[in-house]
Amino acid sequence: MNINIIIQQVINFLQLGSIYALCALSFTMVYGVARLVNFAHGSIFGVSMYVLFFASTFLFERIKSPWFVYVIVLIIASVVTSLIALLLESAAYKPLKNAPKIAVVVSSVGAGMAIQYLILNLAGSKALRMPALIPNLRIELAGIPVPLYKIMVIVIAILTMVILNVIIKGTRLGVAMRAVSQDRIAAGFMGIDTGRVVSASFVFGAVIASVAASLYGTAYSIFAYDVGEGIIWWSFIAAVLGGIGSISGAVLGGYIIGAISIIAPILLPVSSYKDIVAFAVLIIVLLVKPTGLMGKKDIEKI
Amino acid sequence: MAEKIVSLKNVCMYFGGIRAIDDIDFEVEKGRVFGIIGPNGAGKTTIFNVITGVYIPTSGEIYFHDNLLNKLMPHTIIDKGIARTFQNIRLFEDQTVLDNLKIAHFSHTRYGLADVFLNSSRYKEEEQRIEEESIKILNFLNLADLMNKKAGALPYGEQRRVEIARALCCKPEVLLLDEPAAGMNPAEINDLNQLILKIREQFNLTILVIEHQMRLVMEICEEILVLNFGKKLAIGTPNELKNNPAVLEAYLGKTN
Repeated sequence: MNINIIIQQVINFLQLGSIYALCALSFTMVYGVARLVNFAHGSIFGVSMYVLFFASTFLFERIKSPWFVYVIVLIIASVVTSLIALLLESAAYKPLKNAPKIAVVVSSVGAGMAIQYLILNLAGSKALRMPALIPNLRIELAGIPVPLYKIMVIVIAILTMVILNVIIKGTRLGVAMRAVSQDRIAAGFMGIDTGRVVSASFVFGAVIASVAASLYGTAYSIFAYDVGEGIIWWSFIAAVLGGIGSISGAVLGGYIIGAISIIAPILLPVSSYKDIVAFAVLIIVLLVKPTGLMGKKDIEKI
Repeated sequence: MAEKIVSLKNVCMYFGGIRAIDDIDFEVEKGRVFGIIGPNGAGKTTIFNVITGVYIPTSGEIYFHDNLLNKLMPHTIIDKGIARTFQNIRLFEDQTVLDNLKIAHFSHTRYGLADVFLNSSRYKEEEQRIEEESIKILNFLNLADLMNKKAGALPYGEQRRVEIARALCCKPEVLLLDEPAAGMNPAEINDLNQLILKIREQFNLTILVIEHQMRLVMEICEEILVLNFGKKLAIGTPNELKNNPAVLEAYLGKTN
């Protein structure tokens, strides 16, 4: 294998890993703060794809500056998905506050399906092609041509993670989120409005999912109504692999899943064997460390 | 007549058919150390939970000064000036002692998102102020050496003191201590007694304390409420209660 292909594959790995990392991050964030496995998150991702598609198709015909359009459609998608996430929280989760945890999980699966089939009915089952959200220039890296959009996908993903990290580490909201994720009751007694912090985590999840969707659309362009389904599985697996609830774990898990998805098809005879490898890695990690790679033991005190 | 700071009027808290507390009435004077005692399951912690908004009482009224507290959420009650500790310590275990105290400044912190990203002077000043105030309180409780240790890694007794320090960072007027002496030996209880009196003096507090340790209760409480099966059995000074037949019966069994 020559150096050219290796560099291309490394970039492909970073691109896919970044997208999985962001998705896992958005998933794990809601879990960490709200203690809720939000399987409807894939559908939020799906909604985001369609909003990006329709908004960008509409705007590209009218506005010539591609970066401007990208920012605008991203904001529109973030707002729409945030509203849906908040609606979901108040309609599907809050009423089940005192119900067994499994009821909330089932509710999230149901809500996710409802949204997915709503997309199917409104937008049809035909696969769509996302307009090039990020302008595609070619640059040369050490003499090897690299499509700029792949680099931009990686850069935007990492930038999003850095901004998120600053918010979580430095701001009042971040401090509140960390407190709520560690002990919701004690956090309330520190003067933190825990209900609002939980809602904020849903908004964060939706915004990060929208960024991830814009990158996914840029990287792979073709999608259909069930696009969120695959994404939710892989981001859930990445989040569990890294330790669910752990931000750094989600990022690590995302890149590991990304690496497996790129490397396994090269080494194995059949490309779909990559799923077997990914699940095998997950199972082995969980056997050795049931809390995931970066997860902490969560002892429930009575 | 001294000023009443916390008063409960006919407060009931039922869980289905269980009457956790039933028709509880009492008033706490400002500046007092007020004890709540009673056998396990008598409803002591439930009283703290209705005062601090964990539960909304089934009926009755709870006042802080002249403000009705019923139906307020814990975070609003903290803002009004009532802080508490927990029977099962609830520190943020993964964070350092100092960070635990800094979180407690939450409602007194004022800076926005932009301040963080721009690293503005307001952000730095606020952070510095919070850190200084936290360290001052740690020094006062002789905990300054531990400030960079993870809270969850500390021994039990120290965790309890950190929890008290954290509650003080909320700048309360009233501090509720839920079994602060649990698991402590007699020497440690002596220290705790001194500590409670010292923080009352320094921070101008009214303190409500739930305790099983009679040494603590009898030595530092000026007034004590005795509960049994959710009902008020007696209220009075330690000396009055020592000779109260109903209290003796609840604690020691019936004597003939």
